[in-house]
Amino acid sequence: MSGSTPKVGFPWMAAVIGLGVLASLYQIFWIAPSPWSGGPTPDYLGIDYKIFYFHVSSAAGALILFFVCSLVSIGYLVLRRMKGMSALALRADRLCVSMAEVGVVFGLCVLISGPLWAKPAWGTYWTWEPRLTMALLCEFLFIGYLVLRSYGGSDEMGRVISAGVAILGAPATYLTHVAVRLWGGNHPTVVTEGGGGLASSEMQVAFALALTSLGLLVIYLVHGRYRFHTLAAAIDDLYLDLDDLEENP
Amino acid sequence: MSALSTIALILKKDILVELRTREVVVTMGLFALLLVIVFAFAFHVDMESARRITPGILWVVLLFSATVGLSRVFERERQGGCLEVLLRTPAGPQAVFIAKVLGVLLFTTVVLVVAVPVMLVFLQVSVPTEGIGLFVIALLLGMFGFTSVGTLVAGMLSNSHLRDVLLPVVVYPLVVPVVIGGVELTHVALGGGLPGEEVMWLKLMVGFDMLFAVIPVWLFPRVMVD
Repeated sequence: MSGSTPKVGFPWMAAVIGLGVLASLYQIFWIAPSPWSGGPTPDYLGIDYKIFYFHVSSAAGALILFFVCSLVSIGYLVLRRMKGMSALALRADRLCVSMAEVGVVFGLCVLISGPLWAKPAWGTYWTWEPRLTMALLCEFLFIGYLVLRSYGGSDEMGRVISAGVAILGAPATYLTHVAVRLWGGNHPTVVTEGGGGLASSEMQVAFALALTSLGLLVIYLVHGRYRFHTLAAAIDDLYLDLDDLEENP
Repeated sequence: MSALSTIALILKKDILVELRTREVVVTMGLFALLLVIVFAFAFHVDMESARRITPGILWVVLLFSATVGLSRVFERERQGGCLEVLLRTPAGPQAVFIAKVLGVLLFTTVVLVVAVPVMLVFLQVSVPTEGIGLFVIALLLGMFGFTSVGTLVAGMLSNSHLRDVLLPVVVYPLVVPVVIGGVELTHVALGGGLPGEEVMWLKLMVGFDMLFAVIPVWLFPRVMVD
């Protein structure tokens, strides 16, 4: 058996996340102001803006996952060469795949929720705006990463190659984050100006709730995938042991 | 033997092989010319539209034909089984990498020197005199970024049985920032775009080229040698 097998994913965490999502939905649709509730929101923010809470949270999740995946990939390539660190390196690699997988799913959420919101807000589903272009690129990059994992081989070579790709992808991930500041475009500069258009505290609470519950969901899913990959590796090792036993009883 | 002389030796070997077989430059060049013809058929409407589509066509031709060249970078060494040995020479894998990047750059340059004028003639576009410098700089910066990343990925994939299919799937998303910069710079060089726009795109391309000069050199020995 390689490494320790995580026993159970936190079942209580699923409940916490479910409650968190319900709470944020309640805050988003019932408490946070809408144009017709007389709140301080400007008139052009219709009901469609409420997708913002999950759009931005998913985007933050996906980008952080991609970026951390690149950093941990550097760790994998360095640890792989160090004596006595091979087990840790393998764990780092499994963490990378898990993060890339969950990141691609959240990236898809962003690329679906974005156009849905862009149609009413900008009048078009898609525009080749800097952040859209870079986000699409990151998504393709990490889909490529997963394709490489599936077809490039699950041996050491495949792990090393995909780590290389993840590291090369770090600049693109970072560029997605700063694209708005560098080139402008239709996205608001939320990070630099603090809070973006979140004028009221109800909206800020709703955003914090959505961000927290999706953040927990990201951790939960990555943990689940990590557990899966650990078990898969353990089963592979068992099969190898079995082969050895059959050859040399 | 110093790293520099190893680089020179490998480069000399690649050039010699190329001069005798002419397999990379001729296939790349023919492919580039055919792409130009297909694009000219597909997109050329009139003189005005030609000027707007030329940057895009130029960069797609560069990407596609350079990919053909990249799929051959390590092919001879791999088939001869000497890549492992080459990487273990005292000069180190980094020297091999740099020599290979220089080789691909050289072959791509030769192809572009032929293909770009032909393309401009077929599309009936001329580069204004004041834009020639920018035009060449954009091509060089773009080629460097693409070649450096491409050579690294070609090396990484050289042991995978799906290398020819996976190469573009992996390389294109990585180099798109450089290509966007290249397309915009070429657009400016041909007399389009906003005044002063080129500074921003030059910064983008130079920035990415610096990253793509450093990261692959660091990565190559770590992904190629066990």
